[in-house]
Amino acid sequence: MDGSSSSKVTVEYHDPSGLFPLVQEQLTSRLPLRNLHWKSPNRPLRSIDSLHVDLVPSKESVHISSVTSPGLVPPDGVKRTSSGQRISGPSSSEILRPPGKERRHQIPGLRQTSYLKLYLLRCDDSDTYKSTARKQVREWVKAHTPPSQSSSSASTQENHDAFEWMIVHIVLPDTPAASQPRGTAAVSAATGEKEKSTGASRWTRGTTTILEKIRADFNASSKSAPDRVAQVRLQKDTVPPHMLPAVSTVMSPPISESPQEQERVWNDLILKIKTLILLSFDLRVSQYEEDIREKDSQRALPGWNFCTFFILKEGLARGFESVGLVEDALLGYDELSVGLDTIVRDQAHEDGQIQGGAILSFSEDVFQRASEILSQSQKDNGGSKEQARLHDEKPINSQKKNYRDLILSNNISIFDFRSYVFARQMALLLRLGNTRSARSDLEAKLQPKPNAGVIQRSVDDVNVGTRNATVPGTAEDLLSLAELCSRAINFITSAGRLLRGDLLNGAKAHEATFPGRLVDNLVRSWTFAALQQILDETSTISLPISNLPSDPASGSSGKMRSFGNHREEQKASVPEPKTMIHPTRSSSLNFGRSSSADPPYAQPTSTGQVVYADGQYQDRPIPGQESNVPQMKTGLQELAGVRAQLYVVERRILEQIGKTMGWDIGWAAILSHHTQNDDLSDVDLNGKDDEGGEDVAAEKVQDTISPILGLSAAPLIDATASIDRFRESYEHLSDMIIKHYTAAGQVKSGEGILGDLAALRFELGDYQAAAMYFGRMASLFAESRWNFVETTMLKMHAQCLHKLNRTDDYARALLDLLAKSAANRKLLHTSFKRSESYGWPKEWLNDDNVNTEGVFHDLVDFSVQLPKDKIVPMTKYFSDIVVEPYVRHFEDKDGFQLRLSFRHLLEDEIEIDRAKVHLISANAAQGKDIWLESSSSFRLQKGLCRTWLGSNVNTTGPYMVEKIIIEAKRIVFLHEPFTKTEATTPLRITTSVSAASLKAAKNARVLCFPRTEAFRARVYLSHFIHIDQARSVEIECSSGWNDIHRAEIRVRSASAGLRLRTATATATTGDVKIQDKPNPGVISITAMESETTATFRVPYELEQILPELSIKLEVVYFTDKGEFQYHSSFLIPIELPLDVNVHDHFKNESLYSKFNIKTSSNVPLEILGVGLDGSEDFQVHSPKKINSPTHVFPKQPLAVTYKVTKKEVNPAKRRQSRVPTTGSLSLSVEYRCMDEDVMDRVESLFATAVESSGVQQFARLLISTFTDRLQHRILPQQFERIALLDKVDMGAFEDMGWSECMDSLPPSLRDDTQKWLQDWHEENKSILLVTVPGNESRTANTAPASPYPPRRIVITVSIPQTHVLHTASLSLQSAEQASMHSPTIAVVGQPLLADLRIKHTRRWGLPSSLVAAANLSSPDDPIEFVYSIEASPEVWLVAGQRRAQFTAKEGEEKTWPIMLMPLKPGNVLIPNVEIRARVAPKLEQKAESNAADEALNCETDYLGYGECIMVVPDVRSSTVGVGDEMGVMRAAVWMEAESRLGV
Amino acid sequence: MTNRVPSIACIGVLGKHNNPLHISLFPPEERAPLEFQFLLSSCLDIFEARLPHKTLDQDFGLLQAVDERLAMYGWLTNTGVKFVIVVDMEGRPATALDSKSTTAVGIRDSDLKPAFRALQTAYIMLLRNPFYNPDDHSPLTANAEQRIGSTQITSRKFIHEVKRIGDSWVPGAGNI
Repeated sequence: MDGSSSSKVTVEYHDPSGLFPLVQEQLTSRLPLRNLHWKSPNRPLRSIDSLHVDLVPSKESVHISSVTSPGLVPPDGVKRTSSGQRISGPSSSEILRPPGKERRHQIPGLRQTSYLKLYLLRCDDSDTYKSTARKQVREWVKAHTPPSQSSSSASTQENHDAFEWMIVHIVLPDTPAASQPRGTAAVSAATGEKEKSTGASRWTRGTTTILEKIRADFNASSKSAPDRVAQVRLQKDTVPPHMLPAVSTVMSPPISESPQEQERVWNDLILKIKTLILLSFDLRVSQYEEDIREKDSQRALPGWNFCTFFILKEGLARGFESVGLVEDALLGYDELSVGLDTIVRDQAHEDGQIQGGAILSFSEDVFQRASEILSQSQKDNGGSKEQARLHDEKPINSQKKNYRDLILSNNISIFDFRSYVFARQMALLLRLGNTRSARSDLEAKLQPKPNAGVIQRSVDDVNVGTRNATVPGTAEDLLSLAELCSRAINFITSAGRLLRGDLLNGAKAHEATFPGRLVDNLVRSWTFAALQQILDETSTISLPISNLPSDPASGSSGKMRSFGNHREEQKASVPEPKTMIHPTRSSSLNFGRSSSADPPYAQPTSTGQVVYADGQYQDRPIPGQESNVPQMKTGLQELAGVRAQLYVVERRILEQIGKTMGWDIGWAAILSHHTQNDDLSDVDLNGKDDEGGEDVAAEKVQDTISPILGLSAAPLIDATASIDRFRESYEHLSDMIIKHYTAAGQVKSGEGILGDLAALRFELGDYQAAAMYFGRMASLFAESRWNFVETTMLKMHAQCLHKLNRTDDYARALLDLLAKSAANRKLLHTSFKRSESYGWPKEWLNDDNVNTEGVFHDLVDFSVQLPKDKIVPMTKYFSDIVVEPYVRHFEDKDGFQLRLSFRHLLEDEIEIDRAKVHLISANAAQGKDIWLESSSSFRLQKGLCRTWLGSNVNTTGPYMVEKIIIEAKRIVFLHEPFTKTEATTPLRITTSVSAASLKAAKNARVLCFPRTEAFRARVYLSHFIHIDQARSVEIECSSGWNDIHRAEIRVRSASAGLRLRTATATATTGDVKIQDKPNPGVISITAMESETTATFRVPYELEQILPELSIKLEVVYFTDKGEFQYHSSFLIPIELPLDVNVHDHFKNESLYSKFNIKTSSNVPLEILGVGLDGSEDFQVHSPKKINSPTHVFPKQPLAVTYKVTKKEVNPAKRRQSRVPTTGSLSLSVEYRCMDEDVMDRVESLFATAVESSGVQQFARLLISTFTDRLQHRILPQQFERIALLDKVDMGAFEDMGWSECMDSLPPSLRDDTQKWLQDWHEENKSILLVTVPGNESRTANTAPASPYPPRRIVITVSIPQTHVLHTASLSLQSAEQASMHSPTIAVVGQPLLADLRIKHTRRWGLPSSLVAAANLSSPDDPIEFVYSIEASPEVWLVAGQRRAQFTAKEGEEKTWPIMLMPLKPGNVLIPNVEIRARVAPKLEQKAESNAADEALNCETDYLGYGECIMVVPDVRSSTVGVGDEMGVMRAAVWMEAESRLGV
Repeated sequence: MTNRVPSIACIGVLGKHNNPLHISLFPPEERAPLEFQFLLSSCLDIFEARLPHKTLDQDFGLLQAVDERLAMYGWLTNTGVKFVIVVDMEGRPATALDSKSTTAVGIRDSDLKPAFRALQTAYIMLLRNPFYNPDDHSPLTANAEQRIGSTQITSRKFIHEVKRIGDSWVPGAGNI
């Protein structure tokens, strides 16, 4: 407890001699008593820091003093207390009156009777003492000795007023007594102090001093008994002269006392007073406790009365309070409160059969007051008469009524009872909290004015102001205040209910009815006033914001002060039971958290605040708040928090009153304005319904009475003056709440209030501020997913933005809102499919349930004003967005359609201008993007929306949906099914694609294919290749069913290094002309009729060798039905499948060329024809034609030899005409590659099958898939087998991999198609490729001949050049020949004569080159040659010119005789002849210029190559003897041989 | 008025991250959803403020009396889920079965314990459902996944159970 506690005890003094004024100053300067320590057996040690003492004269002494010394007793004795406060001393009659009046037969409370009685004894000398004083004192003691002291077992009743007595001997100066020494050693011992100076040294007059005499006479003998005698000496100057003895009969000089001594004496006195007061207090407490125990034990007995018990126990509590033990007192009241609860509960249970004393269900005075109000309102309305009021501005006051009397007389209502208990608790808590009001209250108590009903304790009282200045606010115990507030909020709310019951019960008891509105208003008014009172009481300078509101409130109540003196019997209240007692919290943990979190809301609110005309509400920006809050105290946050709650309750009352006035405010206002069928308005309707039947009748009355009837709280009356006032009050309260919440660090609560303010702003039209609030708070609530709140705020935010004309933000807000709404619907659709049928409990507040009806519509309409398109993700607003991956074709035109389906979740119907789907190719290499668009705008209704989007594009291949776009005015909903990364990199490459998205991608894959009848184009390598000329690709366009007006073919190279020469493109077949070639890569063509085909050839060039060409083809064609496109990309292998080698052999007259045709790959070729064309100069003699196709396998090339002869033309003419291109022949080969052929044929077999079947509509898809699969299925190695067997093994259906293709078919048709395919595969397990022309017995699975012509390649074959050709022959002259066919026979050792003939020709070479090569001056010059005969010396012996030099000219033939002698028998090749030219050394310059020039090419056509001679030994005959000697058949003996020459 | 007895006006289940998991209003047509949402939201502050002083007990008792009729009571589970019950002191007309005591005395914290216990049981049952993933109902995950919409509990069973609790509670009832 702090020092300024307001405890107070009464000490009565008996002052027969009128001495009190003399000691008063000394005495009061030592008051209040400090540091009392009270220890009772069953309690812990309590310390009372200070105890005020009320010194009152006894009745007798008043009388005496007034008689004896009227001038000395000051009128109402103004005294100075220790704290310097001016208090007016009550006269004893006044202070004693209440206890005196109390009926002694009732059990009284711990009363304010004096704890100690002092006898101020004037006894100037011993004689007087002996004669009169002793007797007087004795009588007095006798009269005032408490019975407990006389006999301990005396009536316990008396202990309630137990007191102690004490004799104070006041020694006047200049009296004999003054000259007596101070007390004896005993005195010193008793006081525990050594008084050396005054001690034993001054024994003057014999034996005993007066003091000792008194002591001996009156002190009890027992040692434990307290010392009841004290003495003080007065200084001379303090004593008025007439009090001094008239004659100074001083015998001895007065003992002059030092100030210390005086101090000690006084301390002794005070100590004794303290001891005695505690003694009597202890007695009283134990007495009371005993009483209470006794009464409590009788609880079950009949006739037990709670009220009596209450008074008894309260007495104790009051006793505690009076000595400053406020906590104990509070505890006592808390226990009582619980007891009251029990009683009330029991009473309710037993239906009025009360055991412990009836507690009334209504208060008479409340009823009277209320009916007075009612009658007043009915009688006159405009009267200036003061209205009767139920309460004033301080409804909670324990002194409003004589509650204790009411309680004692069992005549108290529950409401009053509780009010009283709470009022007492409040007072105690305030005292604990040491608030300003409590301090002033205390001061008021210290100077009680008996008749002042309502003590004026205005906070701006001068005293308080000074007090506050001296005692800093930090002395306040904020936790107690917080405790008080939280108790108050519980009490007031429940007491409001009690008051209502009280009023109704009262009416019922008096058989009257109060209008419901009156009751409501009375209750509200009371509640409001009570709350305001609490707020005022607990305002503290530590919480500056809380100070501010209290001032206007008290100011306003000041206006009503005229009623103040008119003491009304107040409703009081009963506190809530113990449940309300929360543990007090210390805020160390969240200390300082909130102060910095002061939101910037203050700025708009303060600017928006309106100053009232009467200055009641003022614009209060709170600049000082920042500086004050940081120095936070313990409990400040708690206090702020609970104060905020109090304000919240106040505000709710205000709202309710507003509602009865028909004024909605905050959310209620704007919600009911803007949504007609909103829930809030429902509440209003039903809220009236449940007010019960009796109120229905009352409601009729309500119409006639004023809606503010019964309101008496000033702020409320003020607020109901007009709706503007109302709003301002509301705003003010809200502002206070927010400030408090902010100070308490309770941000979330503050936000809710801020929302109300925002709503208010909105209502007032301050959209700027409102938008700011809404925007901020919506996101705050969104963070922790208060969806409902958020959407509501969003709605309002949107409206503000709309009003502010912030188009972009407005659209965004609406979109956010819609997203919420849609998200909810989405959830409902996915997880509560059944919810429609079952229904959720309607109690459940579905947080997602957002009503956005009309918003979408507004948004779309509004979007026209947007500066640009607003692109928003579609998934937020629609669900189940899917493009069905099933291509549908138009019935009458090319192109295809896809169906976009999505679910429109919201109620609004909106007009969709356009829907678009963007497809990109699933294969990276492939083609263009495709846009599909809806044909027209359509209306979107709630539910699943399906729409067909068409495209004029014909293409084949897998595509992915990249974007889905829906446009409604300027709002563009965009959906990208795959994230960017996935979309840009094709799925095959992406490695980190999750399985889910892969699956999704697969599902979203659209396999596009054109209609069977549609335009189609094909790009292929031209079937005719001239090896020396630019190659070309051919574009084959089939118009299908289109009657094409014109078309544009765009060819684009997709391979690096490929150049397509569209400028030189030609139309090869078909009745189509190329109209224009506007740009590179573009060919415009003229009209094409339906069902026609045209082919265009586009030459190309390659910068580097490529194995294949990648070409993208785009055909835009125009028909009656519009523009269409055909997209495709082609991969064309351009590697020649065949190799041709030429082997040349020159003859004198002719040249033999052997062509070796091989495959360049592993794929066999089918050679259909080979031809070598002659040229001008040369004639070709071909062998017999190849009739039937021949297969060329990798290991089995085809060789064809042609004889080329030179045509005899005029050489001169020849030379002139075509010099450079002389001698080129061209070999043309007609062939088919097996792979191509097989594919084509199988495909065409399949195609015919498909087109004649029921699955014709998918023909293009199936065929292309089929081809694709087949290509992958048949490996190059397999073609050899296929070629040999003429059979393709198709394999099973399952192996073909149809599934992917099947997946992209509409499910309805999928099974049929699959079945058809299965059947087809069943029938065509292997496909025969036999193509025997004319073989009519083709089976079903025989593939037809390839639809395409065979390929033809023309290879130019240059005639090889040779400058000089020698035809050499070695003719044997003397050879004998056995026969025509047998070889020539020669004999070993016999020489053979032979002629070596060498014929020289220069016809195979160009003269010019000859000149250069041979370094001749003219082509006809002779050239030197050397021939040599090459023969193995072991075989041949060559005689003659084996090596010789010769010169030759054109056409010259030379002969040399040669002798040859074979050396070995056997078949022997004749010797070889080699001829080499001997070129004259070139000149230097020539050598330089023609260094790289060809050497002289000199070929020899040796006719004797491979010519054989049989060489036989030179034996004509031989004789051999065969012996049979000695029986051994072994010996053969060569007898004789005959030489051939010898013949 | 006197013949009306307290009843539950609103049951709110608030998640660990102060997100609403479930809100039921009794009777729904009389209660303004927005008002109650704000009330529940402001409760969170009280939870927070009292948390440091809280011992083992899960019962927060009376959080705040809002006005003459409404009072909020709180309960905090070990996992940080908060149950808030708003009691309307004049929630429904009294029947013969209702004791009259509450009108005069009000209700005690202990009166609400059975309701809270029942709520907690319901919530535990919900958690035991393998298809209920508490993380799905956390705003943190929802924000991370950029989900829109609230994180409320959508279990039909739970909602029905809450409705049952809200409907069947009376002051002094032993078990719900």
